Amino acid sequence: MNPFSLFKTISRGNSYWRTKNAATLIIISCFGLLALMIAFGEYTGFRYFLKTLQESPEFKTVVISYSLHSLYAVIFALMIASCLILSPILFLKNNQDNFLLSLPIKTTSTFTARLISQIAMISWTAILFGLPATLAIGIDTHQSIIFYLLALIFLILTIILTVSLSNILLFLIVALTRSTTTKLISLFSLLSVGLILYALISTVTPHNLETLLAGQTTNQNTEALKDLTKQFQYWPSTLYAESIISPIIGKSLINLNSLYLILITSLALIIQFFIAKLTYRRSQQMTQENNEKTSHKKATLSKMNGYRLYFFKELFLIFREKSDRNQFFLFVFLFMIYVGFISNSPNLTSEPDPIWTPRIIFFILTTISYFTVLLALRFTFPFGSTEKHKNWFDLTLPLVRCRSFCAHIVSTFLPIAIIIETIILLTARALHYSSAFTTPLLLITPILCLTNIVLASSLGVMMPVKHNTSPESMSTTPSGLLAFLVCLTYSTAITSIIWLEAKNMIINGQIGINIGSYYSIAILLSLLLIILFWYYGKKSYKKLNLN
Amino acid sequence: MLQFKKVNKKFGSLTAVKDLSFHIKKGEIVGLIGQNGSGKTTTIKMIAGLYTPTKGQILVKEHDVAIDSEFTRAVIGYIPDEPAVYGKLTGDEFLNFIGEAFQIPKEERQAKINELHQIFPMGEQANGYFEDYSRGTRQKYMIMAALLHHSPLLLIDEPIVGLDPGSAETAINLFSDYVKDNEHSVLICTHTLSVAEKICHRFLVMHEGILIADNTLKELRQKTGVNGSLEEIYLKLTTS
Repeated sequence: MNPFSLFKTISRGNSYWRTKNAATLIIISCFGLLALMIAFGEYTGFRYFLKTLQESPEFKTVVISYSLHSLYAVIFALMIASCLILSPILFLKNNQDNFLLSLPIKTTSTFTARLISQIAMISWTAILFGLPATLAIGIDTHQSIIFYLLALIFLILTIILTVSLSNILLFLIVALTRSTTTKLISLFSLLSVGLILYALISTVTPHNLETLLAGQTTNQNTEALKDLTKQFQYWPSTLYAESIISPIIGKSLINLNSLYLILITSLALIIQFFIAKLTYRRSQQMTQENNEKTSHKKATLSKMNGYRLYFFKELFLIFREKSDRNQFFLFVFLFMIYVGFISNSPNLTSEPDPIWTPRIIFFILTTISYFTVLLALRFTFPFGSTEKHKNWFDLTLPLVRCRSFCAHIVSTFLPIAIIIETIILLTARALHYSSAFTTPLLLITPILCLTNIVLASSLGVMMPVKHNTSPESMSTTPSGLLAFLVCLTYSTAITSIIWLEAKNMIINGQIGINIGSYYSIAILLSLLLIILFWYYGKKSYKKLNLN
Repeated sequence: MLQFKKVNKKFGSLTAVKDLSFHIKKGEIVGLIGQNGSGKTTTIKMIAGLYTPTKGQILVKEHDVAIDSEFTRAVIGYIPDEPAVYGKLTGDEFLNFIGEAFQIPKEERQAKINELHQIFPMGEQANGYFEDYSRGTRQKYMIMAALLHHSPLLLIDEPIVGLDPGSAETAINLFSDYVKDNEHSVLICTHTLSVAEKICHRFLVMHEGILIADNTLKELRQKTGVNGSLEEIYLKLTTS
């Protein structure tokens, strides 16, 4: 190969990695790798876990039984949650229905096609988290190929059972309440969150956990675990868990539990089709018709002028959007659960301040902040979303563009800042940190953290726009993703420093000791980010929106 | 072919269509015209089975749309106002899907698709995804899909929006030819009154959900005393 053709090949390769297809390939590969790592990690963990229990056969059986029941209960809860959120969108709020309903296609055919997609979409949870544990048990107990085949069949049956149960619930609710899809999605989201939380924490109450920890002998522990396992007896996932455990306790895989599983799944499937045949078409029509319903609102914005009008328009756009408003209610519900959870969390370490609580709180808060900020970025930098058109229109108006940009930023992030601040205050109150209310650090810390996350993630979006010729690249090409990830990593680091330091100061009362070091670095870095943000924002915003 | 008997449609507190009664005979092209929000699209969607009437009866070939929708859907071709369907299907895959839904045998279907491609040449675009097409191209595919199964009753909501002048002319000629055998009928809902005037035999004028006129152009001229175009007659009707 001569140098010229080599250069041509390299540049062709280089330009390929800047395309949308390459970004998709990288993202899919990363997710695939992550999924494999999780599956492998779970498999290895289970194998190690089973090996360590070799010496005590009775205790081993009880431990495996409890682990599998818990694992499959969580998988079942996750699948139900996915189904409940997915079902209204897939079956009712489907863009294609507007046309599909007019075609001479049988209702059951459309329903079956969508049911198959739904099963395919949610099965990843069961396959990714359920199969490695089954595989580990099979290999540990030297099972034949029949075991794996039957286990796979039973797992598929469990998936079908889960889907059927959620769909029966959906159609019954639609038929009884004539609810709109948005309301249903909110209701189901709340139900799902409740179910997942219940699955995660119901069996591990402070009482039975303390009993387990207090158990000095294996016998006591065995009894405590048996009690815990009983908590799952009414979960449909128990049928699968019991079937998988059968070979370990010397029973055949085809037993009463597996027969029950087959029977219940068939029954649920028949009921589901029967209800769908009666109600599905009407439910689809109702969803279409609900889009036409109008309501009369007062024109609140007519009382305002100038940029006040512009700012409030942005806020109203968010809160007048039904789905966004419902997300907000969901958020409030989550806060309540969160506060209730930390208020009643057991003090397992018997120390004045539990060691693990602040760490969990930090983790939860950071996660919530990230998700919120990433959601909010959609509004400020709306790439392919519907908001893009609104921004285009704004740019045609005789408004100063950087002021319009600021209005977007402030109106998007101000509600988030208020929400996060509220969580912090509620957390401090729930943990009885009375001194926390007297220190301004509690107010400054989250704002400083949020500012960093917002600025850094926004920069991650804007920097590639400034330097790339194709504006599409900012969210879809590897360079855009890389810049975004670098900025997110930076904001994670700085947030961790600030938060951990603030936590030390509040909990240990060390206010003033490290204030010079950490906070001044954080504030300096924030200032630097603000300058960069202003520079890139001003240059990029117009390009970002107009292209 | 189509009969409306005192049909009402309410969306919550809003009455979109009020006591609507009319009929369409075989071999007729009827234009449904009216202001925005006058109930035209709701009327079309009720015939297509997308909405259920709150009161009244819609009969297609003597079959009630609300009771025997499987039959009525098999005899109706529908071209919606927003041709945004199946983003990840290519145009030809879409046509094949429609052909399958209307149970057209594979060979006949393919021959018909080739024939339609002669009328609306798509070139390389035929291999692209629906989501990447322009509005005009999507509209062309929707028209081709309706012509593919050649149903007795064709419902068209805004027939030529987004089409280039040449394709618009072709589409108008195709709709005119559609009823020539006296076995088919077309209901066109449109704001492009010049097109309606050119091809429709009769006009249904709707205003705030009520049918205010059901006449031929000649009758409308006599009724309003306006001897001009359909647009002038329409303005006279709706402003008075």
